[in-house]
Amino acid sequence: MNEKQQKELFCRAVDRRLSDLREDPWLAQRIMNSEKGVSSVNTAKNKKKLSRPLAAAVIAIAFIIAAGTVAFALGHSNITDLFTYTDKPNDSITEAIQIMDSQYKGEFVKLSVNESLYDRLGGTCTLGWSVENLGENELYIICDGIVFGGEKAEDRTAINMGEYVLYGGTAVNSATHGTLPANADNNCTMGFTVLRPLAPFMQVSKSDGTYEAELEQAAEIREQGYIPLHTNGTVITELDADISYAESLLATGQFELAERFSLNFEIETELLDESLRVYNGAKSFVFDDYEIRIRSAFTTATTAHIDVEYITPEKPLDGGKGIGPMWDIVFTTPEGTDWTGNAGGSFIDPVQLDDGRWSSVYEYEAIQLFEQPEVLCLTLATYEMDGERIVSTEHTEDKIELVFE
Amino acid sequence: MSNSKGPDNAQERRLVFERIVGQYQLPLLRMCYLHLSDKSLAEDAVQESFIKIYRSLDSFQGQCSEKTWIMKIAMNTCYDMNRSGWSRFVERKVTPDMLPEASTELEKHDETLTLAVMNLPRKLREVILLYYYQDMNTLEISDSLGISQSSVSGRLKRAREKLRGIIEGSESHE
Repeated sequence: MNEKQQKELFCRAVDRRLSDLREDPWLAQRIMNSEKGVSSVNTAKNKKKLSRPLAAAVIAIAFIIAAGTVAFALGHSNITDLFTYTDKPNDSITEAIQIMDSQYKGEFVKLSVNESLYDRLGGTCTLGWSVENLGENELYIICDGIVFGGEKAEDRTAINMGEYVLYGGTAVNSATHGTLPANADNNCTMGFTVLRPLAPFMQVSKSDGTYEAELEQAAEIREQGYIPLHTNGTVITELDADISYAESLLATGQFELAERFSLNFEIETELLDESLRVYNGAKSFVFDDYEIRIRSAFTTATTAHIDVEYITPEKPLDGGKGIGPMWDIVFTTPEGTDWTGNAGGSFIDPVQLDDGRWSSVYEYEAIQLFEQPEVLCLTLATYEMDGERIVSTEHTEDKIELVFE
Repeated sequence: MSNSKGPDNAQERRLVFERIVGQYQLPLLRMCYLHLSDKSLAEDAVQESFIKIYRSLDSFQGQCSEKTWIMKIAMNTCYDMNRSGWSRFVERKVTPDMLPEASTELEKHDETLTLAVMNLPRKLREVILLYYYQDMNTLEISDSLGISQSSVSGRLKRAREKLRGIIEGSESHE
């Protein structure tokens, strides 16, 4: 077998085995929109990564990390921040936050899990905690992971779960929000590693933005006796796939292990149950050339779950590979407010009904609500190809209002 | 845009970007997955890569091929992802149950090969993926990874030794 054949067989094997990984047909559009109007698609509040994934699989666990190194402020709630888009506080969230008092106090740090928000019916959990450096010397804090009911966090929707330098006598607040694993219970374990730097830190400027340049600069900084620190708070080190990041840092000889610990605590799971609002109105909305059926719709303080059926005389157009269904449902509040920070859904392939029409289902899910809307407006959007461009049409004249009770 | 300078105006920029995303998204997603062993991380890496590509479209001057440039950005993004967040807490050894479901019929060899590649050391894995999966030559790989061609050849040789019999083994399943 020659090289060319080997390459072809290699590609075929990998493509078959990873055939479930699909394109996001809206990625280009979303990035361009984001670059036009929003400074970053990666910040917790702006990120709408789930805007239109085609894959049917839903999230196992997702975390959005807020303000890994924000200044510590007594009484300040990062959970409230996570659910607040504008200056208007999200009162329903604030009122439902469970004040926690789970603490670890070691020789070097004190860690307090001080608030939680467990949305059992919506399937999300949010945690807020603070870490305090009890000594005079700086420490490097690494969060080793969060586990619910024995299930490790393996999937996430955002990054910024940053490790950071914690200066002597100071403290930081942190918060994380994510969807719960399928078998989550109220038992949560958080793990942390605390390292003591043996040299001062120096920031890496990354002259040309490449990893190689960064590593090169980091090596120079190390030679000068400093610890190279990325602007995002990460200490730069060449990773070894066989050991953890903390171990990689220890292997540089520039750190020593201060302490490693985990904190286990239980969360009240039913505090948000009363926030459940269900849509009990009309199930069918018939328009000139299509029908919308609401199969189920409910919201909680942190989430919205709406299954919509789109019924058409003909099989709906599908743009095929890289494009997907040529229709969508747009969810807005009557006032047009930014009501969710992270939402998306799955399209189920159309099936033909007994009457010859076609039924397509869109399972929509929002997991980080800035407000729990009493009314949501649904509008059908359809798409056409104009050359290589996708042109959308929102059927605003057919707007549907769902009132949740 | 291959081997040429960046687009001149907004309309052309948009069209070029849409073409790049259409052309490279799926191979990048699978390659990032093979690197990161995590579907969501891979999706994040792909998104992050295309954001960087979009932002630097104007400055791409065709110093290398478009593909080399894109792969370089994607590889760097994977490194960044590996350095941050949950990736550190995910088990490093990839086992069959950690792979996503396959939506097409599989040969047993497909999984063997995929797992073997994912469990290679990073430096060997990246070379193997660029060579076999992205069909790049050693010069292009050296440009993408910022290492010499001889290093690429050496890593390729070591990787092949580790995968001895696995890549070639595809033949018997065809």
